[in-house]
Amino acid sequence: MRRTSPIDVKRAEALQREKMAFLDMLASAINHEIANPLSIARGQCEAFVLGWKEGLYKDKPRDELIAKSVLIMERVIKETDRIADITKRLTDFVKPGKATKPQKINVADEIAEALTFLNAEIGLSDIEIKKDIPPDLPFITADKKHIQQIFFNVIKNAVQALKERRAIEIIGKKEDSYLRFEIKDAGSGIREGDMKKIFVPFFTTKTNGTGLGLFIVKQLTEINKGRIEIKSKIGEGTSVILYLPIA
Amino acid sequence: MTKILLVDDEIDVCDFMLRFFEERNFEVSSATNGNDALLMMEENRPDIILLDIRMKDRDGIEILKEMRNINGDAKVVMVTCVDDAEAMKEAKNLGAAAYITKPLVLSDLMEVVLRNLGGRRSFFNLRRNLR
Repeated sequence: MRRTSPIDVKRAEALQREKMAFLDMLASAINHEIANPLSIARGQCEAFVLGWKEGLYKDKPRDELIAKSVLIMERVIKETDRIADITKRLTDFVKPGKATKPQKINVADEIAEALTFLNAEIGLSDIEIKKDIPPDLPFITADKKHIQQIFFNVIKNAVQALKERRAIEIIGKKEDSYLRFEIKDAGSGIREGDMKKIFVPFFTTKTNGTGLGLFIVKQLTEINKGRIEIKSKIGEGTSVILYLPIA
Repeated sequence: MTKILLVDDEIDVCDFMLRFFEERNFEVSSATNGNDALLMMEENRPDIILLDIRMKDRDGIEILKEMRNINGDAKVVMVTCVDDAEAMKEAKNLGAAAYITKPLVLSDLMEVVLRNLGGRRSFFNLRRNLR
């Protein structure tokens, strides 16, 4: 019988922490994204019911009340459709990583999606996100969920690295037969000695890090026939550069 | 007339709350970003402010700090999507009067507003007094 080594235990714990962090993100995203449309749908109905019970509408003509009711119902339909769309997007985002058919993707859209989920998880309101992505960049052929996960992990790392200067740049351009995306942060940078290890699974310099984020990014980038480079300087920040082949 | 300022970056949330409070004879103003919220606070001197904690342009806690500089006595009720204990603790330390979570229950919201306007009147008593 094989004994579980301390390293195996540590790795299992790291995987578990990664899963819990992901579930945490999901719960926060659900709460944040759905609370507003729920408030609007519920609020419209409750406001009308309360007004009716208080007698605020007793002198209003019947036609006016019917028109008001129809407007409210239309708004409820709109907001519940919005909730349905959000739950679908979240479900698509978290479905187990079954191999899917690569499809033509607009990377800018997937970056926007990753930022939406990140905003729900950690709030990006005090961070300046500067995007320089031309609107006419060609599509790539890739697994949509992989691309979302790649940018989610990279941008999240960038956010967590920030110190006083709270700004992240995302620059996209066409370079030969690839799209090149650079995610630049003004964080603390990576020590030279650690640069060789950053893609090694379970290597981390964060207190509660799992050491799997960049490992997953590299794996997924290479599965989609791309490549990743990292440039960093202590005290200045880090650039993660992704090359993704054009469709 | 009691003045209320609504601050939420989602315009549709501001809209239905605005109509709800206007129907009940509040003088209502609304803002969908932090800078407008602070301007309106200076211009209108609301009696009570409902402030969303997660806004796209600025963090609600940061806006609360600046509101305190404008008027330290302003009653601010924080509106939050999640039961964020850390953020609520910070808001409380900054003098927020109360918090309420989304999705909003209007009758609860009105009770919180009335309680913080200094009355022990219930929502239903207010309706009679306001008309």
